[in-house]
Amino acid sequence: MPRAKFQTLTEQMFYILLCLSQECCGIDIMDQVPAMTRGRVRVGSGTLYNLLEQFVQAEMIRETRAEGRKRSYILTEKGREALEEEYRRLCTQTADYRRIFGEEAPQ
Amino acid sequence: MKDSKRDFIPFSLYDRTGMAAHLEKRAAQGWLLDRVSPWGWRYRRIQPQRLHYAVTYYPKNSEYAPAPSEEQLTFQDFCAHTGWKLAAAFGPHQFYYNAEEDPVPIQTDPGIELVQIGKAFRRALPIYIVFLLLGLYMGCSWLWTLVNRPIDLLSSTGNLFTGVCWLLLFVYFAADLTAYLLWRRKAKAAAQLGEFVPTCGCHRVMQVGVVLMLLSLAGWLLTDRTPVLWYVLVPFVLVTLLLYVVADRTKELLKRRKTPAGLNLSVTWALTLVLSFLLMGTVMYGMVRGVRSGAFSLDDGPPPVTLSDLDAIPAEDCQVTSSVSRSAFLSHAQYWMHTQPATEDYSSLTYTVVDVHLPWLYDACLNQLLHEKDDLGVFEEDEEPVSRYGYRAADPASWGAEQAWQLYTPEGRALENYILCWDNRLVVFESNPDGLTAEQMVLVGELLAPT
Repeated sequence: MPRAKFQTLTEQMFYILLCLSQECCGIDIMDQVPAMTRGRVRVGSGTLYNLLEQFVQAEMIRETRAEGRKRSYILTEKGREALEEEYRRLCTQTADYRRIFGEEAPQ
Repeated sequence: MKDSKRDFIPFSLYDRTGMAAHLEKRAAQGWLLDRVSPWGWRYRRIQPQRLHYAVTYYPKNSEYAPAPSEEQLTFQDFCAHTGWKLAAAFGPHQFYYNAEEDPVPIQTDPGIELVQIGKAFRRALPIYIVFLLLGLYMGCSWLWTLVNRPIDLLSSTGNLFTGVCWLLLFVYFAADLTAYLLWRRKAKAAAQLGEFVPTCGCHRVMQVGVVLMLLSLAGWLLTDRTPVLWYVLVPFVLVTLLLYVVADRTKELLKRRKTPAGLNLSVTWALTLVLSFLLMGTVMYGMVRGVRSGAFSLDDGPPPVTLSDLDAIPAEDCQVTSSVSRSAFLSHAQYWMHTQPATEDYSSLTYTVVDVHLPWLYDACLNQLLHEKDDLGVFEEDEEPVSRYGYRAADPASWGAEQAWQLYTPEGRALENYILCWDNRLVVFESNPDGLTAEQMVLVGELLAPT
């Protein structure tokens, strides 16, 4: 069944929103996400562009500044709630894993 | 050594995998995409190298826009940051290349890409629907005519050509739409798992179709010897090409002058429409004037039998109309002639001569002629005819023919309408109700028999 838009966040959405906890522009995000995840997550330029547009439309982020074509954004209260909701979901998943396998690290 | 080259592969709109693979192959051969236009893809020479290409979709883009929008430029800035440079853009497509070994793809979310391609495809959907419906209607009509009225279709290379074109267009659009929907279904399921599905378009179907269309056109031009071909088809093709060039040049000129996309679109289409009426009107006017002045003729030589041959009527008192079509399969000539109407000695003659060039078509042609008068039967409301006009075998010797049939009314009255058959020729001959004398029948047989 298709999930509702932004009801759960993909990894890329999660890290983009996480980057926007502080004001930054799109190009900064492209650098920050791989740095934050040690290269594990990479956000394509087209994907980032479209997601920023969708996040603005969904009022999860707002534009703070525009210097020429360089636009900066920051997380809104709604975006923060979406991030927290995703965090809780991930924590629940982690807790469920631990309940089954204990504290042992996966091979 | 040439520094630029062109090619044109009719890739499906959604076939980003096929387009990228083709461009990567060209880069390895030393050609970098430079421009995309309705005339094809243009490349400039580079050192052969391994380049990555990505085709992205920007549905808001218009080919009539004078310059990229701010949003597009921002998008390009994002792409440039990860090493992707814009090579060309056309319609919703943007072609990027990247020389890095393992670049971050432009699209890393298959769901977003699916939405973008879906939006671009939806914009093209009306064209698909129009061609599918038109192709279905025209293609089915063509097949129906081929089965039920082979003479009408097979005697005209023009009809054969247009029928082949419509059928092929239908096949292409149906195949492409099906391929897109199948890909979309797979891609949607894969996107849930974060996976991309390569596209597989139908450009090979289109390439085969274009080759078949060109072969049909060549067949038409080589086998059709009717004057109407050169007086109508050639000017029509030239006018169409001219309109295409004018539309493209106008669009480009207005783009260079920074005309807004909407105005450019309106002006280009309005100009093309007005010009098409003017040019087509001029061609038709020139043709009618040429025929009237005797500069050229659409007639195909004198009729084999005239009223003058039968009744010693002066040729100038007869009005003759003819229609001739020829192909490699059949020749089909129809003649209508009469003296001045409402005169005491009014006389008329109508006949059709069908020459069958391929013997295996003979029976199908004869069958069409034998059943052509079926619809003249007496009908009751919404019912099958209660009785039909029909041909009955007649004496062929009277005409010097090999076989003959005469038309009868449902009441059994014989009419002066005959089908005469020779080895490779069929004639439908209709004269005055008072009929021909025995001598006239022999004369008609002699004049219409194949030489």
